[in-house]
Amino acid sequence: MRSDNPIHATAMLVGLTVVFLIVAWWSLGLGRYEVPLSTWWKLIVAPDEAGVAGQILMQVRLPRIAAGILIGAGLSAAGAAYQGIFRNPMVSPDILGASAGAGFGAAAAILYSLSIVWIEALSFTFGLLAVGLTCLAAARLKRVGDPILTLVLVGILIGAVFTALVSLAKYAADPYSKLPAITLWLMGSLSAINPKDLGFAVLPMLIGLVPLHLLRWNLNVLAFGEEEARALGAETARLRWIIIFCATLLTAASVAIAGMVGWVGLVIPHLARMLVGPDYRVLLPASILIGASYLLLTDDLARSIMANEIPLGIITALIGAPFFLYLMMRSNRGWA
Amino acid sequence: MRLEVSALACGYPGHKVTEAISFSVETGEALYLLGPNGSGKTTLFKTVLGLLPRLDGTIAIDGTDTAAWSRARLARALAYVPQAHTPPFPYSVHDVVLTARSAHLGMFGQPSRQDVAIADEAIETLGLSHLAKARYTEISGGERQLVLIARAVAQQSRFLVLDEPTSNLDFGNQVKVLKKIRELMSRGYGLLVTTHLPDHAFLCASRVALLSGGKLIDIGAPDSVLSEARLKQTYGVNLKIGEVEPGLKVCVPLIQ
Repeated sequence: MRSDNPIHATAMLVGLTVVFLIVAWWSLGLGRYEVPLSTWWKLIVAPDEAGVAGQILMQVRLPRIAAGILIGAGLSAAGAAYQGIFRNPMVSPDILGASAGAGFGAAAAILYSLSIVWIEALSFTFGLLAVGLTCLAAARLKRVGDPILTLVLVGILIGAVFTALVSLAKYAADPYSKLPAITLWLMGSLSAINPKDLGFAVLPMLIGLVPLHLLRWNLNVLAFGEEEARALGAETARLRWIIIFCATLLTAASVAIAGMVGWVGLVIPHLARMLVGPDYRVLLPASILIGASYLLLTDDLARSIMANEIPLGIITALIGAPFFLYLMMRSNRGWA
Repeated sequence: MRLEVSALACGYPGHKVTEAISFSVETGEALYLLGPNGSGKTTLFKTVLGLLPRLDGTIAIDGTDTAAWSRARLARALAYVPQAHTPPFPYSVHDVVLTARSAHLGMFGQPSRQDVAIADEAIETLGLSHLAKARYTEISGGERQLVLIARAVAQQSRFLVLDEPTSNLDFGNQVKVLKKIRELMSRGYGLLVTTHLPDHAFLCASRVALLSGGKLIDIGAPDSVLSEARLKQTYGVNLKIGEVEPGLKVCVPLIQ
């Protein structure tokens, strides 16, 4: 099951697109409030007559579905890109400290009762700051050994610092109002998404996704290592920074609007690699499509299993971690 | 065409590994680089490939200094054949060879149908067509080395730098690689090859450069450079060079 010829690859991508469209359409209809198909028609021809159903679609369901698509696509693309850059299939968007930094930014904003826009802005800032610190420290440790291992290790260290800062923010928070808010937010959820939040996230998501998609061929070359890639004619330093910047932006944007949604960036690229092979020309779009479908499905579960919504991050971890274990057990041909 | 290295000093800032070294490689010949571990072979060829900054001296291709060339332009003139390795992902042999086309694409480029055809042709040249769809991570070490040579051919550069292409290979695979090196010479490629085995230099080299302690000790025809006395001195071991048939020399260590 992998694409060794272009026809197979195209068929796979078409199939994944169809699955994605079905999942998206189904997710739009899913929810406690029944929205008949005719509402769509009404929304198009006479938006004023669509009523409550129309409002739910436009104000609640559509933003939530769109956010799910963006976050699933963004985290999966970021994971696939990081794995290629670091030549390590065990790497995920949480490395380099991006998630932890973004999490701290949001926790701090909640602690000081700042508005949603500030929560998002601080998530971005601290996510990128964490990656900046990681890269800076790794650059100074250049001579210690394998530069990629150094970068990953420094990422874990910086991540630990920001995780400690999150704990500090929780400790300092008012246990009756702020602490539950921070804790809930860190669990990850799409329930609070509104059109404004979505608008704030679309641009950084596109700034991250479009260059990654355009540069995806280079990820194949970079997977052969720094020296070989350079000898093959790739401007590795420039490519590496662009790709790390884009992947980090995607991670920070996801954390900013939905909190900590773990495991997606690790599991989905693996699954995609099993289906279409390691060639990034197919792997990246496949990861994006599978990631978007997967996040929609897990969010469908989150909002329909129990009367109260379960935080999405709990579902992605409960499904993602055992699924990853399963992938590891059945891949006897190395990390694919 | 001519790859000319003049008074090249290699190493790292504050740590010179080689003295000023000069040599040249013409298309259609193979220059073999021999020398003990730590003699500076690896540092030298990495500097020639532009993977390490030069400390002093020039590297010119057809009279033009390569210092200001972009990575892609250098890659179009000079290809690198590393020792066979295992990448982290199970790419197909065809995918591996196709990466050679990067030097001919822009930053946002993707291989075209023509690039695919060039890769296929290179795979055929090395006699690997039956493996084109196999996973690179699952073929033998000898086959992997041939795939990397095919990749260098698909890069369409006139000069190839091969880093110990026969190390870690069994005897039969070593011979396969040596045959391909001869074939590449007759096809008009200029080769710079490092090896630890004088026998391989006797079999394939047009000329030999002997490196020791960061200095170029001698350069010239294999017969004149690889003499018993000089090899004894360079490697510090006792050995004998014999002629098994006219024009075919072998080097045997004496261990008793």
